[in-house]
Amino acid sequence: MDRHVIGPPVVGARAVEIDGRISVYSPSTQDLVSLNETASDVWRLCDGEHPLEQIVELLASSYGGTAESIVEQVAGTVEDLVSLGLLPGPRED
Amino acid sequence: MPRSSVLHIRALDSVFRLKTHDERMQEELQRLWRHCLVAPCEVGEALRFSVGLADGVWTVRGQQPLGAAHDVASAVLMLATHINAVAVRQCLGLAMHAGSIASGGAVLALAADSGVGKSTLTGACLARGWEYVSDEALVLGRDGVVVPYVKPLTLSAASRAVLGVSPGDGDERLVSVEDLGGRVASTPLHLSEVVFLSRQQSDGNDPHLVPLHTSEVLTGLLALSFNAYQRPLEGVELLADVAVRCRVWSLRYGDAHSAARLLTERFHAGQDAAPLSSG
Repeated sequence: MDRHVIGPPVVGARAVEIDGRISVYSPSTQDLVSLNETASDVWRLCDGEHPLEQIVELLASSYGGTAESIVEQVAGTVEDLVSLGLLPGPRED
Repeated sequence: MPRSSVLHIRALDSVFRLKTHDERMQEELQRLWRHCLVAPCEVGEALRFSVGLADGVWTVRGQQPLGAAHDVASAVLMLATHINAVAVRQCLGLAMHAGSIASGGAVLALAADSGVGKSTLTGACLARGWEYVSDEALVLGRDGVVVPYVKPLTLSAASRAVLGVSPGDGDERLVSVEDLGGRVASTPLHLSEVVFLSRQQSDGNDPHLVPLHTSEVLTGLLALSFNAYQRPLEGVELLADVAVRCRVWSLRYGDAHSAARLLTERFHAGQDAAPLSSG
């Protein structure tokens, strides 16, 4: 499993939360990206403190499932957030 | 030599000085913009427009000629188009494409791009007791309150026919709120409901009102904003503050009167159905 720490968000990214869903303003594109509940959960953990492995384990525990069942979805969400310019690329822990 | 007449109107944060030599034009401007008229003593810096008649042709001028028209109605429409463009561009608040109606101080925004039918649905709602805020723009001040923009409504010939007002000739025409049997909303106003409009051919299953997640208001209204590009982050934060006090809906409809009836049954303060959310 990847040991790279994910996040924190890029400088200038502004997240607002409404009824459990997060929307993030991207300073580079000046677009607002709305996240669903699951992606919002991923976003909250992309704080520069957790590697992907730990994010997956925390979410699996929260959802009552297994890490194997969600790892691809979580990794895909992180990739999307990076490609949207909201998170920096992975860095060494 | 005809005597010139000058009117001053306030549209959002801009003041316009309108000059004409023609009495008919003066009366029509006063009638249509009566809710925006301001006394000269209240005016600081004003943008100057004039409407003149020569050889049967009306000429609308700002700092330079803006266009010509062959009748009063077309000339006042041309003038209003320019006033509107300046007003929304220069407004200090966040302005978004949305008709806006109110009941008991609570505003329902009918959000959609141009051409979807905001003004027609706004007019249909006025006939059912809603109060007029704007047919063009939902404007949020920096404190989150709704700023009324009570310009005359712009209605196509088809819309005027739907609403039963004198069709006249030509396509688009300006219509006053009184022409539609409505009245202007009293302030203060707070945003209560945001309804994203989707027009379709009537299929027997419309109008159809579906709740959306509150967060939809952020992306939905920002995409419809006239001026968020000037201060995008400020717009996001303002909408986020306001959104938590709103309900958000999608309305698919074909007939404006049926849609107005549904909105009135669901949201008008005088109705027994779902109460308005408080601000």
